Amino acid sequence: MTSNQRSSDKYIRPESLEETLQLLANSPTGAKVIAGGQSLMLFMRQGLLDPSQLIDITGVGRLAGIEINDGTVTIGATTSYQQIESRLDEQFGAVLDAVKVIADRQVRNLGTIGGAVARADPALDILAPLYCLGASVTVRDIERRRVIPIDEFIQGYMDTALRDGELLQTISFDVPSSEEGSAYVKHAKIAGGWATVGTASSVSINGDRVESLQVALSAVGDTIVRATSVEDALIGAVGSPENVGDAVENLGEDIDPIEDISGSASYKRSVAKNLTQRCIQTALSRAVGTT
Amino acid sequence: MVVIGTSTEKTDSNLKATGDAVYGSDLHRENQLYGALLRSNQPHARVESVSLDEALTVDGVVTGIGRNDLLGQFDDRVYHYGDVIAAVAAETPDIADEAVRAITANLSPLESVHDPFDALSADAVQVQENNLDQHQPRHHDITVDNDDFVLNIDDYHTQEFGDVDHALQKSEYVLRERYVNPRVNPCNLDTHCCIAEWEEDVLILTESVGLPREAEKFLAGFLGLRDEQITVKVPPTASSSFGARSLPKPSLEPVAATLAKETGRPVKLWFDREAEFTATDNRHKTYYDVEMGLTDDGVITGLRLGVVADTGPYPNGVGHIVLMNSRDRPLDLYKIDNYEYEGVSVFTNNLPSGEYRGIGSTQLMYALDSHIDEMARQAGLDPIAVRDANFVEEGYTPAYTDNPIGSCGLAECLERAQLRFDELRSHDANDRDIVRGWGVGANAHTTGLGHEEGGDATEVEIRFEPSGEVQIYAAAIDHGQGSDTVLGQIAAEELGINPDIVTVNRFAPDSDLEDDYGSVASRSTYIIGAAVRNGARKLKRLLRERAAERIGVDVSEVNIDGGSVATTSGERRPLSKIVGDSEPVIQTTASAESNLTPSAYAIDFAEVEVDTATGTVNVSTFVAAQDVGFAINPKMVEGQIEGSILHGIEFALYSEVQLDQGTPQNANLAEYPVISPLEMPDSVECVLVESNEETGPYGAKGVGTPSTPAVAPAILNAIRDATGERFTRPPVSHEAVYRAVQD
Amino acid sequence: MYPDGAIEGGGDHMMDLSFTLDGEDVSVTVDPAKPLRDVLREDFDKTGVKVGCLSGRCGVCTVHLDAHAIKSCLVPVGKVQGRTITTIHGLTEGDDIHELQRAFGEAFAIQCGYCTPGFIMTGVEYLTEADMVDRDDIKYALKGNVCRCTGYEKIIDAFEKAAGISGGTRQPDD
Repeated sequence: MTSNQRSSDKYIRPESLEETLQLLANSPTGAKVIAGGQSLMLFMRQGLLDPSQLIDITGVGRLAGIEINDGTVTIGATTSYQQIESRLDEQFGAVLDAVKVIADRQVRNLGTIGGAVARADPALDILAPLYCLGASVTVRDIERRRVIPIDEFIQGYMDTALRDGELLQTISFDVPSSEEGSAYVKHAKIAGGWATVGTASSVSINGDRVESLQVALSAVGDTIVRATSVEDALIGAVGSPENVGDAVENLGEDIDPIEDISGSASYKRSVAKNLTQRCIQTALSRAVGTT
Repeated sequence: MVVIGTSTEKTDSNLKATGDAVYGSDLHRENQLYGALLRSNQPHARVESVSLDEALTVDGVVTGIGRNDLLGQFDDRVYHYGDVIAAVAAETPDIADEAVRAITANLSPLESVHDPFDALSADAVQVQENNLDQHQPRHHDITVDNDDFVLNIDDYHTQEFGDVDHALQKSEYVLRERYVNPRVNPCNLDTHCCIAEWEEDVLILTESVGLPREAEKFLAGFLGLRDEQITVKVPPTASSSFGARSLPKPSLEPVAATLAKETGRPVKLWFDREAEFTATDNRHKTYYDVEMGLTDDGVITGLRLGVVADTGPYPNGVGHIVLMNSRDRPLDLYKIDNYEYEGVSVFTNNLPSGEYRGIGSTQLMYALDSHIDEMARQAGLDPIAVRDANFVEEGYTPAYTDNPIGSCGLAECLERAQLRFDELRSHDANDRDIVRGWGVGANAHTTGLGHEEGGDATEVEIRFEPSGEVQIYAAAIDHGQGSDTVLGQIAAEELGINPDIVTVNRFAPDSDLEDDYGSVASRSTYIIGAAVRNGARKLKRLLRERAAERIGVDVSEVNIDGGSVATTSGERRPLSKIVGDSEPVIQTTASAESNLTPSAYAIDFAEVEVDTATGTVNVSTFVAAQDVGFAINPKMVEGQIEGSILHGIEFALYSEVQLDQGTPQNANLAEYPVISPLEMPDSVECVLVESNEETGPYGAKGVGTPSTPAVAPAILNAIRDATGERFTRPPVSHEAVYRAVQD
Repeated sequence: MYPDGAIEGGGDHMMDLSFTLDGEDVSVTVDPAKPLRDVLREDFDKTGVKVGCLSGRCGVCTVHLDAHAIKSCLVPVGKVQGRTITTIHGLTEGDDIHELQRAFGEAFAIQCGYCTPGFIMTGVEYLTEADMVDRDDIKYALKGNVCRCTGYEKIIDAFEKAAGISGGTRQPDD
């Protein structure tokens, strides 16, 4: 921008992390960080948000991109769904499955993983896979950095541990081993639509037995919900279709869906159970390399 | 030269593919203002006061007007969510929006009525007086012969042939059921937009309207102007319609006209998506009580139909069409000797209803096809055989008319569609999570408006320009269906020239050419096409005469073919070289008329796959056979049919404008489902049947409307087959299907 | 709300922006929170960028931001400072049209045509990046663009045609 151009405090696009953190430290009330903006524009239009200032962080190079080092995947907050889809391979089954069913091509080109985690809407597809993979969220302000497990970072419905002045910087998780498989399965009224129920699972096997299992569901509670009763029922057991079918019968204890435009609570419970069964089966088949 | 019957590329495809096509919403007038409306958020209320003071202080606002001061038949009540309370005109769209937010309106809620059965009763709140005349088309006097129908009657029709009671008593099977269709919206992507300008006391409106001359008459009456004081112009590229752009809308043209009159400047008024849902055309939610008798052999003994259509709060003449198509179309499809019909369209405080692809027919055939299918399945009869046993055929005369059926491809549609369907559908029964089912739907729908008083008639002008090009001036409006291309093909065929040099134009609003209707009711090819054919034949004769004169031979020795003049002596020269620069310009007018409305027929087969884990319904295979008489441009005919399938799938499985006491719950494209390629069938095939309708050009009859009504029932019948449950309140939710497969 | 109106009125937040639009360097003074779509239409007369909804569903406003297909109603114009925007009007130079545009005509993929520019813009990016093109893949790529006329069949035909013209199977994304 040349010096005689009129700039505005309403929209700022910093180019470095330091500049961004300085801005956040001194930002007026009502300032809002914008990444892809795909939700933010809708919220503003609906009158749900009226930010006095937009801080666009997509010009900060250090916040974008995917690094895989020492068995850890680190995804920058402004990495788009499209970049995740083109960079991660089948090893990251659940994440890839989720990215592919989000909205549409144009939205995935701009929508970011950091935007989804910061929004913390339990209906967003990417979150349940991140719970299953045990992801951590790195946030920082001008003084210090915090690393928070995702299930602690997300504290409630659209509520996170992010403090004033803090920026969500990266999301990271371990690269799954070759004995692990994961999947995400979703039901929506139409393709690309909001999840009625979404369910993710990540499993590792030892011989024919389930060694570890994480199951997490979207759109069935205020936050992503871990299905611990299903996990407990299957860990140590043979990963047979019968055992999976029996285990998901326990799912109802873990979830609390509400009736809405997508269906009644009891329907959602049924769909959650049936799709979780399907999801674990897919994750198991990926773990043993049959698909 | 053979041009008809081949898939000539659409004449406007490059213009549209490059983004250079100019639609009504792209137009700007010099010195133009932007209109914006404050709309009601209540279904029925008295407007006690409107304060525009603050709005008028916004910089850039030129005028503001309350409902009472609008031109036209507006009073101090709002009748539906989205009805107009006040309007402003401003220098930019942003300013107009800001000004609307600054308007203060004081509304007193009135009792509202939302169930059309309630609205008919003597103790209902009166939305409008019975048989209200607001100068809408097709208004006629009514005599209501039903003590339960007292108030809020928009229109009323009855019909009776034979003795239904007696026929049902003699039947082996009798079934009575109520079917209700969803209130669906065509969701034209380009929302309604109108530019209003006054030249002295003449109002000029520029907008995509399918029925410009009928719109002029309607608006003249509504606004209290003389007919010659209104001119409706169509933009360079017309927007899609599906019927919803046939008629004016109370909160569009009258509001733009008022703002333009007040300011003395052109005013552009462009609806947002919510207004499109709440203040234009939704398909009438209609209730069908169907009672039918069937013999052991599957022969229909008698049919009783009771129809109640929710018209919404304003009369627009479309309730009449719903009732008329519901009344007559069963008799166009099936041989029914004993028939009783009563239909009423009802004023309510729900959203306005209007035209949408297959007005009344789409609702009716869903009910009728569902009912016949259900009776066949309950009786253990083959649903296909039952239809076949009752279908009309050539030479048969339906009870309501004296005109025997001239062309009928139903049997061929059924045979060829079934054959193709059996080849395409999945025969894999091994997936334990999937239940499959198949279903069939049928339809008959009229071509053109020959049933209207005085029949259907049109005139065209056709000119051979000095440049060697042919210009046609006709009433057709190409909303995308391709009428410009088809009419050009017809002219090229007759003239023996390349279609590239033919241009089809909408005739000027002040043209002397006669045509009352424009592009509606699947009439463009049938009646306007016939006039173009007649005109091209006359023009060819004139060209031959001029050529003969120039060459110095007798006209009998001259022919035109392949763009050339050929003489019997073997001389062959380009047409334009012989007659191109000659004066005067060679031109002629021609007409066509018809008192008939030949039916086009359709048979659709659908296969669905139900996911037993979720109730998700996937339409896996769809075969649509249609008797189009003759396909002048086969690929464009397919395009019409394939588009219909999309609208039918939405009706059956996805879409409904949900109202809570008249207030829409999903009046936006984020929540109202418009489907993507992924909800379309995995495999789609069109079968074109050509029954050669003698009264149509080259045997052609209508396409766009007749392809729609059979789609939804084919799918609903397939779901019945898969799940064992009959759904009578579409769209069918996944949850409902899930419950059905669990039982 | 006016269909091509901004989300917020008022002039106190006006900002000078410069970007590349259809190959030209342009600048505009505008509310940075205004949707890109409306700035393209109102300030630069790019009427091939269409208006259909305000909910990011219909895709008729699709343009390229630095060669990626995006919905211009979901992008605040402040985001394009210093970047490159390509609309349907800048897709090709001179009288040439893109092979996908030609294929749309040949395959009868255009009826009313209102959705066509959006499909072309999504499709050009897709065909550039896709390593394999088949019908299912095309359907998946196009779910963010709505067409009300064609039932999509002939649009998918057009993509197959365009992919065939340029060799069908493409190289993996680099």
